[in-house]
Amino acid sequence: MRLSVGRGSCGIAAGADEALNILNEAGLEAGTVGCIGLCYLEPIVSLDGELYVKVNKEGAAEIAKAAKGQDNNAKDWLISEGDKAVLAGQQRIALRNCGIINPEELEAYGLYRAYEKALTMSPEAVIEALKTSGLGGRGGAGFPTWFKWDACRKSAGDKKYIICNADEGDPGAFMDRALIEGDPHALIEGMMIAAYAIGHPSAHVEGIVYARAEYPLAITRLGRAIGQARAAGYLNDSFDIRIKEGAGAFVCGEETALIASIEGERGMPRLKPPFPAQSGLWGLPTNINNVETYANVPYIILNGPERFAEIGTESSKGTKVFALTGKIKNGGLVEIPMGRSLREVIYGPGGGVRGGKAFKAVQMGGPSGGCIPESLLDTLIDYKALTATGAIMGSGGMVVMDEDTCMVDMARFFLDFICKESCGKCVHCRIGTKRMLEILIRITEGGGEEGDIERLLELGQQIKDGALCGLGQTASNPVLTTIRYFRNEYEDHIAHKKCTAHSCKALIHYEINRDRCVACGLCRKACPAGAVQGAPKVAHSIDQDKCVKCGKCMESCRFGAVLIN
Amino acid sequence: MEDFEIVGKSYDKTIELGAKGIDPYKDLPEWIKADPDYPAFERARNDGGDSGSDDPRIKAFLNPSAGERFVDLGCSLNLMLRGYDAWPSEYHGVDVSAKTIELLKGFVAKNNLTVGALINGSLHETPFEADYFDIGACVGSLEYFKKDFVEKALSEFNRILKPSGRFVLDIPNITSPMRRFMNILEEYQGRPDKFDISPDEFEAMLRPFFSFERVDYDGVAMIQYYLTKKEMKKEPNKYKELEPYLESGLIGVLQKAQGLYGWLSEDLLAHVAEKTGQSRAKVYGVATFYAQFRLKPMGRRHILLCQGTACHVNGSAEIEEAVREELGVSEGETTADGIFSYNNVACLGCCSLSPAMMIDGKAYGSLTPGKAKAIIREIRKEETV
Repeated sequence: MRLSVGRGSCGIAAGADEALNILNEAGLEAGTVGCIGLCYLEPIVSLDGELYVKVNKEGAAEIAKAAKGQDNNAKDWLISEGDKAVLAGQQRIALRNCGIINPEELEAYGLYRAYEKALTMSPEAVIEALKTSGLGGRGGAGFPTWFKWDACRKSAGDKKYIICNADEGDPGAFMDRALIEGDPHALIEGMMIAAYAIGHPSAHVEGIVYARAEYPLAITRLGRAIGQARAAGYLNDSFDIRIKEGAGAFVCGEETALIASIEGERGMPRLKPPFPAQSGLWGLPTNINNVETYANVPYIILNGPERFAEIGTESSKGTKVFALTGKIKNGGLVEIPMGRSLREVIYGPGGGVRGGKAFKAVQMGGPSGGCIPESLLDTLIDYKALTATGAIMGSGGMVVMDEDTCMVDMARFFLDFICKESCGKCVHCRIGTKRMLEILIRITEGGGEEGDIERLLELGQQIKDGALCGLGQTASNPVLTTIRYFRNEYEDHIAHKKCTAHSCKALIHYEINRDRCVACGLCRKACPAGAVQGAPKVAHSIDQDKCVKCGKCMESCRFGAVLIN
Repeated sequence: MEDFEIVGKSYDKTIELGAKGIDPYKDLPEWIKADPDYPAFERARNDGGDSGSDDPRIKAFLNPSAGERFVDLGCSLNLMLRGYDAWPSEYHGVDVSAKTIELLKGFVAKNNLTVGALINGSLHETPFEADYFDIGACVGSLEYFKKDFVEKALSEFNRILKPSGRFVLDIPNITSPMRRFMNILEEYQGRPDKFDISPDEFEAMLRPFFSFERVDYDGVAMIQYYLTKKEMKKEPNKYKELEPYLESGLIGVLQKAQGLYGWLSEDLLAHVAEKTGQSRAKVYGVATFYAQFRLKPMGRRHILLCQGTACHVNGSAEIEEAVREELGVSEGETTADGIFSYNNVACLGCCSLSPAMMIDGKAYGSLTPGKAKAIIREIRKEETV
């Protein structure tokens, strides 16, 4: 009997530990696995290869009976064929073990066979294999991984650093968290292969994982895995890995800022060159890759780079993990071969838009990315193709928006984020984004003026041209793409003081249709501001001066009499 | 108006009178001079027994010498009128009367004197560093204040004085029979005495920090105290739990410090700066750069409300409203009962559970305003039992 409970952060938050307790109390030994990616179905229990989903207390009790061979109703919690298809529509390389193996045991991962194979190759051959595979940086930009490794290898020095960037800062992305929680040894093995490629053991190499402090479970599991790798002799004094907890700064995703942060400084980017491969942490040759990038490496070495390179398009090889969130039906993690279309992802494993609403846009690349409209959903998942839309591949956040999402408000949301997270070094980013934010706030509050769109475009372009680091240069992307594809929404806000998504409070008002109102009084009771007027048997109305636009009246009405305009 | 502001205004007036050559204590109206206690007061003043700043015992005790820093708290006209300008120590004056400070600055400029500082401010909150002064005095000032202020003032004197530093202060003896008349007198001057601490109680307040001698001035119902700051043993154990982590890089040290002590106080930041050999400015700069660091005390339970993209799209604004309503505080604040503190965060990485929040490392997902409030109430109940 094989019994396990999905205990990633999201599974635990959904109640996985309750299910685990019930199984344990029934005298069963249930193992722990990480997140399989079906976050919308958590908590998930696996029994002899079958998945049981949304397992509440009753479900856990029934599964316990099933495990013991007693009569049971466990089938009520069995995964549906439709949900199974979500998994079937993927190709899992980086996530190959997530949700399958116990991330807390080295035996479950097995020997570091890819590393052992790499040791039989020359470091140059390892780098050549990476080159053949076409693996690009999964942090967002897709920069060829082999190139970084090669540059670091060619940098002379007795001491070098291997850093893993696990400071997953894009709001709406959690691929790296799930990967570390679900398969930490894949990351360690990937980093070990990288260390070998850049010069270990002739150079002393030190490994550092820079992880977000907001990911306590990931840090715990990685720490345990590092301990196991030490005990097994994979890690030792000549190459060891330690975890450095980040302290919460989006800009530290930029590699030079990340290095500054490890050195104990404020996380401010610096000019490149010199690149980290020449002068990185403490001025020494340093290689920095993202979690997903390292996790792909053992697969490439073990299975041969050709197999990896077969997947994808001319310019983008392999697979990419995406975090599907927002107004999507099947929220979770999916790993998709490059070259599929956005539509295939969103309407395939993603299951389309939730609640029967109309699709409006998908946001990719977080604050550095952009919003892609319906008309471009056939764009392929490919670094070049996505960049051409004005968005970017990014680290894998895919936030779906429906007709209720206001695109001007989305732009405001991202600018607000960027403004708070700007490190303050460059004037363009520090002040430029603030000015853009002020304009956007004004527009969403009904004070938009003619010329605002042009001003935003001009400022956006200047920030692109003037900022020092990648984050600053892309800071205006969310505004520029929403103007490019949803200019009509901006114009509605500015010229007609209208928010068609009914999202900007200053631009909406609630009214009661007197013909439909039965004067039941529910809305009057629900109103926190005393704005609903009326008496029994007298159709109600809303005093617009008092209304705070909370929408409680609309929620409370059972007759569809409250309208929003 | 705060008590010290009233006193300041009153002394501003005294300065104006002084400029016209009027001594407010001398030219008293007949009805005060007719008081049965007036002769005793008059005698004490003429004998130099009025506990004033020109009492020679003050200088003898403080024994100012070159290279020492002296702080004169309140009544800084001493520099000009009582010969303090001739002391070899470096003079620092703090006075609540802006006019006094203005006048002194003029005096200093005119006579080409060198002084340490002349500051217009209250004696209970001075801008000086800890352990800064060798000697100090606060004479003729504390009588205008009540206990809560006096407590703060004493703690400030203790803070800025070096260990073994000497200090002179005086207080009214509220148990003395002459007190009635003195109150009438001060009331007439427009700065009624507010002092409400008996000598016994006051000495109990001094004892933890100072050893002292007491001299009574019965004629004016005042007591002078000659204080010596106790050589407090430097707490060798202060922040000792942090010692093993001082090598872990500035951010690591601060993270550990916050984990150990809950938040980063100014004192703790200064300690980290000293121990790591970095400047305080740099430590403060790093502490304010990263979102994780808290420079205010935290509640016992800490709420992180996610403002990530997925949460935003799924209505985190309404959750924020509900959380604020339930807690009665804004973002970055701590509830009055000390149970909760609350911050917004960029993304918790629980996007599939959006809208989400995290309380002490535990994630709560698929929130509605009602659910968020219920979770907070439940925790509050646990915490208040």
